[in-house]
Amino acid sequence: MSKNDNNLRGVFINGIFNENPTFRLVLGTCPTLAVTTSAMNGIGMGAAATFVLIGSNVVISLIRSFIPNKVRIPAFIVVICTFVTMVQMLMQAYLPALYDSLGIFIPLIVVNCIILARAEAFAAKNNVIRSAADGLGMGLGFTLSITLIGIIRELFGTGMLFGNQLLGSGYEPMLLLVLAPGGFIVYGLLLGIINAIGERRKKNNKGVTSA
Amino acid sequence: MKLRVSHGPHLFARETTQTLMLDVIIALMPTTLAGIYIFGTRAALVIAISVISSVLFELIWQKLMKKRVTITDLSAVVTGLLLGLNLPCNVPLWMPVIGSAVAILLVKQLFGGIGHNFMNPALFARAVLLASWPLHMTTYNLPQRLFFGSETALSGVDTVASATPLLSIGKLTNTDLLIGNIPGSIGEVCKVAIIIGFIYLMLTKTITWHVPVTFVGTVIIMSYLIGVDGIRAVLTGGVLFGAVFMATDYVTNPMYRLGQCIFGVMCGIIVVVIRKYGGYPEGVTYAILFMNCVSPLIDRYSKKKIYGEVKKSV
Amino acid sequence: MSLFTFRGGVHPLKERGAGKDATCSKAIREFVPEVVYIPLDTHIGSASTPCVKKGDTVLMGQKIADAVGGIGISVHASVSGTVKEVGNMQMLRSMPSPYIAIENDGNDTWVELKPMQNYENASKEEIISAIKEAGICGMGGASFPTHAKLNLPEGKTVDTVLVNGAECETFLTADDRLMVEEPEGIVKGLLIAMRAVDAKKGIICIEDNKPKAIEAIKKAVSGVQNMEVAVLKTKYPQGGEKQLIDAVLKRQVPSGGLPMDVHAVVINVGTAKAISDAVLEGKPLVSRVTTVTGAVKEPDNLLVRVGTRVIDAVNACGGYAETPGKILFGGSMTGNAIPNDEVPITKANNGIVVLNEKEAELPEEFACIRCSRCIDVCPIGLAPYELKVRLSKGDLDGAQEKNLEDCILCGACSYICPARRVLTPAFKEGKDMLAMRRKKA
Repeated sequence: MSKNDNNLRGVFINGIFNENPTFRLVLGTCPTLAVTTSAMNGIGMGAAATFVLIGSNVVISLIRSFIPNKVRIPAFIVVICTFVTMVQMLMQAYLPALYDSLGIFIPLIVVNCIILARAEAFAAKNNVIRSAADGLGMGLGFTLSITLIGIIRELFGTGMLFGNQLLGSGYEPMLLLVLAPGGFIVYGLLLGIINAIGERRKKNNKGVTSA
Repeated sequence: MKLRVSHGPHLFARETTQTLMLDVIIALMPTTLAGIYIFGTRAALVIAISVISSVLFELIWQKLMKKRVTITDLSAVVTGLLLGLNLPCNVPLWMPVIGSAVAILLVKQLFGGIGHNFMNPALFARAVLLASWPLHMTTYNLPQRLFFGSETALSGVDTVASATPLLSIGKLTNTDLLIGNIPGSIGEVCKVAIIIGFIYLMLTKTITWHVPVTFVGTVIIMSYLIGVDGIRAVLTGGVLFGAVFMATDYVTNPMYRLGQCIFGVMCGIIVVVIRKYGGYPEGVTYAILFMNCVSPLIDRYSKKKIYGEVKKSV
Repeated sequence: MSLFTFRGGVHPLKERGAGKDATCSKAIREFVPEVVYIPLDTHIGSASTPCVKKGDTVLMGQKIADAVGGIGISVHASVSGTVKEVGNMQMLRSMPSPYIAIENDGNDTWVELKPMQNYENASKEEIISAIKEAGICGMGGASFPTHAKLNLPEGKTVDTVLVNGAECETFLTADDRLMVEEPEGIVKGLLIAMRAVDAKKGIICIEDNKPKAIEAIKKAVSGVQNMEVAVLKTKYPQGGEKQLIDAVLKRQVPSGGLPMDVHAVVINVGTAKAISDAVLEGKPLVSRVTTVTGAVKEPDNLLVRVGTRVIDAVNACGGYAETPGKILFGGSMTGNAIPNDEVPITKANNGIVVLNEKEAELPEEFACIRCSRCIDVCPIGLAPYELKVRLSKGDLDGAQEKNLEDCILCGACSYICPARRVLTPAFKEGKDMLAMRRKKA
């Protein structure tokens, strides 16, 4: 029992750190670059994607033994589409402001690589509970990552955070960061930093084992 | 007796990276001095901050990353100088510092230091500053002092706020444009000084004619083709400065002479297209940056014929 | 006057003033050492086998080692005297080379010479065998046995013999002086070589920085049929075989081919002189003209015996002017650095250049700034910067794909590189590795 627990936690943690979809797998870069102009957008996008991920992972895991191998991708897409449509309608009804600011990128979650990749690589091979844990982990990892990018871009690009003026009025916002090139530059720099940290940790670990 | 044994050649040309960079700095001096004369001490301050911060950023980065410190090759000085000359003289003084950080850290060092940047660092920094703080970057002071002391048609206005002064030069004579009695970035206004720098670079064989001549030539021809005075098109904005000092950057233009001609022509075309149809009144920065990215592709398709090359038979 | 030239190249003379002034106007002076150490393996091909032993008395011009294999050369005593030693010594190669030391009796007693009475009627075979007997190899630096070069394989024809008097290397003036002082011998040597390969035309090629040599050779050539002088633009590497053929004949040797593939043969002026001595006087190759210059007190052109040690030659020129840092066999572009000053002079050694300690320092290497200079100067049209990138990644196949094997190792790219990239040595290493791989395959 405890072994299984550990395992579940491992699956969950995996999505946040080791196989973080944004910084380690570099999946779903389109929404990562496009909607991260503010921290709120990041959270909203992340939450929507997490919901779809969990839902589609669970359903695909449930029906995985009935899907013929040759048509599995269309089948996955249909499942994902269902959840995306649900998210879209829910968001339109209850969070119209967020819905407006995310715009086209909500329906585009359908083609987000993270979701299809997890369906293909994980849910189609694992049981329901593990798939749900994976969906939650991946979703959270995605959410945290794009929120981080959103925070940086919003803070330095507009001087605000979650809509509140944070840096004093003397700060002149660096407009570039909320424009498209800013997205690329911030994402690239964070990728580089996280890779550098990962490399260093790997080296340290090696040092320990060899000693 | 200890004799050194090594493979030839045992003799080397006089030029080193350092002397080449020094030549570029010398070539930039006329336009730097002209800019300081025209825009006053504030221009000198902007340039100085830009140069010093560029060198410091390079030094700090190389120390932190435990790399060989190469600030003595003067390339950081050139980058800082080019950046400073590309700013209007009344920008806030933190802007050249941010620009230097972008140029040296982001564009140059992160990609592997000198020789590995895929874009012109100073120009990319200028593009970043322009996109980030467009107001500061497009508010140009009028010349404080004029060569020959003549009144320009623009007197009476304090600053010209437009993307570049291209829009408001209608009343200026070609002589005004040539000697720099116009508002603009510090280094780009005095065309005579830029041409002196160009001649110096040509005489010292630091650059070849290929890029600047094709670039400027294309701008003239294209401008006439779309019904604009070609000479005026070159004398306004940053075409001349860009063609002589920015597009000739070794690292970011093609390696082969044929490729360099293609590079120059394409730059010229893009400048005129941006000026005529684009959202910006001036396009030199973006034209050169765009072509920088295309350089490796141009290199692929412009090889020299190899001596005695045997056609590979099937 | 339009000058013959090729594409690319550098001007080390113009740029550095690494002039020939020190020696080009001085007459050739003969120098004979007390002891000669005659090397046996300095030519391309297998080392010759000694046929004398310690204590033997030898006459000048007597054969002391036999040629081995088709591209071996025989070696002759360059002085008369007693064989002092037969041994091995560290020279230009990585392994010690065999040599024969002969104590000079100071008499220079020649063996019985057998000059060819009437070379104009001699057959090809007779000429080539006379050249072979004389132990002549290319005297411009590469040391390829001359008899093998002139002995064309079945089906190959040659219409032009070029005599290479370009001497584009820095410092060296040995060929220059030889042309000024012995133009007749060179012209005769060329005539004999033309006969040996059935060529209809002979051209003596000289760079335009040697007006005296051009004058002397033009005078000697006037009246000789089917022979002319080509004046070349002064540029390095104008004297490269491939560049010379391209400049004068406007033909390009195909990649991986030999000059005879474009119906040409190139011989050095020194070789031409040696050919005429061998055929007309029956004298084997025992001495040559060598420039001794750089950090020596009285730079000079010496007619030295093969096997003279560097230190003896330097002392004949007044000794070192400064502490030597590097001593080169050949000019400063392609010359080989020697490990110590006791190395003997070979048949192919056209110069000894002594560099002082400062000149010997290797410059620090910096990152490539992509200035395109290496591409501009490469006489082959390669992209040295790109080859270097590939080689430093260990990508030998990639370098081969970019025509590494066409590189002639002239050193122009290394010379011009402002970042002092180590280009030519890296290409040499790469080419050696490719050659080794081919041998294995």
